[in-house]
Amino acid sequence: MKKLSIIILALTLYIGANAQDASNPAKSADNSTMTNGFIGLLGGYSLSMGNWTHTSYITGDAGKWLSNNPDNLSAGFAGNGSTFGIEGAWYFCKNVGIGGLVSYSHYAFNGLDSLSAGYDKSFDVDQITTTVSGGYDIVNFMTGLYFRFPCSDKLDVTAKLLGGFTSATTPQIAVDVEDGGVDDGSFYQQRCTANSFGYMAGLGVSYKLNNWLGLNLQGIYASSEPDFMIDNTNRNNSIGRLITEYKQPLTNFNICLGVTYLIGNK
Amino acid sequence: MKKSVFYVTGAAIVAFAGMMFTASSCNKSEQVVTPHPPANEFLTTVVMQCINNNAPHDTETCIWRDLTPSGTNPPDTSEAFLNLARNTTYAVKLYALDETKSPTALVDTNHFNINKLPSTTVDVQIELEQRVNYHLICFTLTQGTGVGLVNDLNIVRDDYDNNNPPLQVGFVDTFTTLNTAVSGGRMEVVQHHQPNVKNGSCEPGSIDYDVFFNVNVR
Repeated sequence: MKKLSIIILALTLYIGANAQDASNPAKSADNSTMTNGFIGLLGGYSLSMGNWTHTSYITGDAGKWLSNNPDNLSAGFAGNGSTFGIEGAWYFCKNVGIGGLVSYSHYAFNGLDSLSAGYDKSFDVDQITTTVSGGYDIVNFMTGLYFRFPCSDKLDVTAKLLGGFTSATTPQIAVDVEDGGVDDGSFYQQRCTANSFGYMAGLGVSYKLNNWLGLNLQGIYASSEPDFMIDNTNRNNSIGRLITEYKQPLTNFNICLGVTYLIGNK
Repeated sequence: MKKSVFYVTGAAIVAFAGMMFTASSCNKSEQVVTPHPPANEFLTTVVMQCINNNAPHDTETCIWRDLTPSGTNPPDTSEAFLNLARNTTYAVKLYALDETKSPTALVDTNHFNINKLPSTTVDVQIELEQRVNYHLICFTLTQGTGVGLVNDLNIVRDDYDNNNPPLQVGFVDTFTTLNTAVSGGRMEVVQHHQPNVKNGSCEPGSIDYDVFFNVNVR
């Protein structure tokens, strides 16, 4: 991430220097194919990264879930998912613009088998049924700088550095306990929503199909760290995995395809 | 050129719609049923050891045993007798053993020492005590002879689990006999398995063992 920040900072300085003599793209004589901005849709595959993807269920003596084990506390059981959103930018000079992006990402739950087996080991019962609903959902409202580097009349290399508001929601986990022919009921780790600052950095290419339509392919790195305060209901005994607070970086890398409507082209 | 733009745009829109469909379909619930793996240990023998608080050499031990947990043979209750003195307080400890691998070297009431078990006997109690948060021992006294055991024996569970608030367990107990006439009766000892339902009462959960001892106070 540090390397990416340095690269983007260097690009910003370089572009800023170039921008001095091209402050108004609409009036610039040497960039007749440049547009003033765009608005578009994007979507793609999202790879979760970091601690929240871990699926640790580490037990000690007699299947006791170790409540002080860092791997147990950081494991988020997040899988990969998908993302889509809408974004737009306005280029106030030849290479630099401001814009924003609103996106929604959904991540599957990963490691349900090991979680359920862990509960079974902790409770020492005949059967555990574990049900996960919802998965992880992340909504981003980002704004920041957009950059473009024309390679030809139709092809641009693009970059962006955004920051803003992130709202994330954890999945619901229901665990039903059955032993000796008796259903001992279910307990729940409830869905929880938390908000935090988030940031994104992206790099891609955009291709102009005609004067008003373009396509782009981009890779976007995103991260946020909401502090989830999780409710656990019908949890009567101190046995098995019990998470009441979860604060880990929700890091992800997105490979997105986008279609854009070009604004202000000449 | 216009045709290709049309096709490319159409493909992009279809791809985007596909991604949205994929995202929405991922919201479905996912469920896994995990059966318990086959047990490595059986619970064949329950030992109750009572040590007179005022005379530690006065130790009473009784044993209930069923080496065929499947129910092929009836339980062995030949050593399931407990003789207690009147007006006496006993420190009581319950032990659960697996003697399926040592049928020719069974523990007995005269020589029972939890630290000197036959090598093939498994001390299941160690694991039970690591799982105190969902175990509870319940005692039930049957009236019997004389003034009746119910009126002559007081039982208090001394050990607590790690729940919040802590709940009684019953692996360690205090028996107090009263200074009354001779009495006798039956003591039923039940270990309840109460995963996520333990609340201090005997009703919830399933049963790990249900044994009885004949008790005399004299």
